[in-house]
Amino acid sequence: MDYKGYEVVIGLEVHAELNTKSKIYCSCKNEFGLEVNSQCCPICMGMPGTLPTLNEKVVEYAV
Amino acid sequence: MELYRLTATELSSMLADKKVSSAEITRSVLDRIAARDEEIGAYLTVDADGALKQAAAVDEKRMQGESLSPLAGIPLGIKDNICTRGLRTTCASRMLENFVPPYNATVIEKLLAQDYVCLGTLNMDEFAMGSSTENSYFKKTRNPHDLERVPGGSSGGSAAAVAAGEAIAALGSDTGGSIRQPASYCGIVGLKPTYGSVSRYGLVAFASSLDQIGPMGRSVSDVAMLYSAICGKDPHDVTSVRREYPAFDKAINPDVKGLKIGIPAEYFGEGVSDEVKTAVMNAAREYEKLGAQLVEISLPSTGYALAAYYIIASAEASSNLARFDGVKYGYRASGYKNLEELYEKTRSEGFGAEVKRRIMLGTYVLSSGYYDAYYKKAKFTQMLIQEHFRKAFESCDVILTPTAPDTAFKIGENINDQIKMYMNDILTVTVNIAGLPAISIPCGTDSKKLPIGCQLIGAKFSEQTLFNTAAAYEAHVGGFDLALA
Repeated sequence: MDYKGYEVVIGLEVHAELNTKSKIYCSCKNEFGLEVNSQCCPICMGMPGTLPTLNEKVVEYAV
Repeated sequence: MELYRLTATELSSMLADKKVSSAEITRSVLDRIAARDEEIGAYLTVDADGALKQAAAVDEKRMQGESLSPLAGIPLGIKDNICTRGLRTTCASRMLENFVPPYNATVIEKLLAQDYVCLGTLNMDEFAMGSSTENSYFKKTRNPHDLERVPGGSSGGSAAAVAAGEAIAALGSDTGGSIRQPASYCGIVGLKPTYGSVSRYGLVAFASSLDQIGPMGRSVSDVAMLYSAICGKDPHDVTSVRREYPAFDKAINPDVKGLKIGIPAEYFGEGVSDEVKTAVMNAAREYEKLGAQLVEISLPSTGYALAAYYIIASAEASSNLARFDGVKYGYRASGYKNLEELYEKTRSEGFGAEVKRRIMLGTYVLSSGYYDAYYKKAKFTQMLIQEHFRKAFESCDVILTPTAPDTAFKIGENINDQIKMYMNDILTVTVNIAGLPAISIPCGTDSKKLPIGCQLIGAKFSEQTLFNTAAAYEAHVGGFDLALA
């Protein structure tokens, strides 16, 4: 097959997990391997009445 | 005079002078609840044991000479959409019938720090959607002034409890008039605070850009005292505003000499009953006697406000109520065969008709193809309404209007006529859309002896002006009729 007429275009979709100490909307730890259900709170559980507070580092790292 | 008939202001002073104990006051109110609530139906959960324990603890602190806040030992009722840790919070919905929050709303934390006594949770329209409390999944609340009539909504339980002596004061919430209209129907005082002055953390969200928790009581001073106790910046609520919040009740100056009171023609139009118009204009004339100046103003976007409100509120509600899916908390249907059926059955069975109606309406106006025609237009109308108020406040200090187009209607009278039901909010929704503060105070009764309320609207963060203006009328008429229904 003659490939000379083709132009290669490669796209990379990169998902980078942000290395913050706490979660995006609450102060629960952003860590793995801890005791089950020990790092969740009413906010990240989406309990009725809760409101998110944006983690400043998330914005910094994302940008 | 039975203790449950007194105001928080009076009781606070008696407690400080050790003339009465919190236990005595709490017992008086609990006895009153036991005597009247089967008929009135204001409460969903009464926590008598908890209340008496809290009262005893406060009395002990006082005996030990601890310096306590003005609200210490005062028994209050809490609308059932405000999360109270360990105490069932249902939003008057089957969806949260057995939901016990694991946390306290910020306003509750603030009240606890001030040693209030919690009587229990108060009935409301399901998820705060309604104007009569008839949309509660559990029970109807009756207006203490006429048991065949509604107390208004959605904070109907709060208003009825305060009016009937079943709570010294109460917290309600207001998204389109839900504090002011029931305050008007039940003859009490109710404040919808400036958006952002009271934290919404812990208030089960209906419309995030419109909701506010607010105080309801029998006197302006009580409402000001309760407002001072709950307002303030909260790091948990980014929409709450950081600023100086003084002790409003201590600074009330009931002097309206030179005050310019705007009277907007659009709020006295066709839909408003003659008796209501007369009562409110009488109040206006009393203000003139006290030295205020009446100014004719115009709020031309008023006619579009109701439509804009129902579009914006329903859109936000459809988003806020998406969390109720039977997975992590609340009602979960049985007999589902897959995830989709779990969601479908749970939401079909867990929500009442009005809630479903508004979720559908909200989802529709946000959907692609309709977003521009409805939601976007409604948001532009909102900007117009805000601008018209801003302009109006250039020529007046407060705006006086009726709170509701009529007095309390009969239970069942409007339940099948949604448009008629929605029209109850027509004089109050503009205030939520503009984020302004507004207070409803009693200003007479109609030929059926039902309370009529008038509304004072102020510029943002002008609660002190509202309290001063309301207090001036209250003093002039010799206090609001506290002959409890």
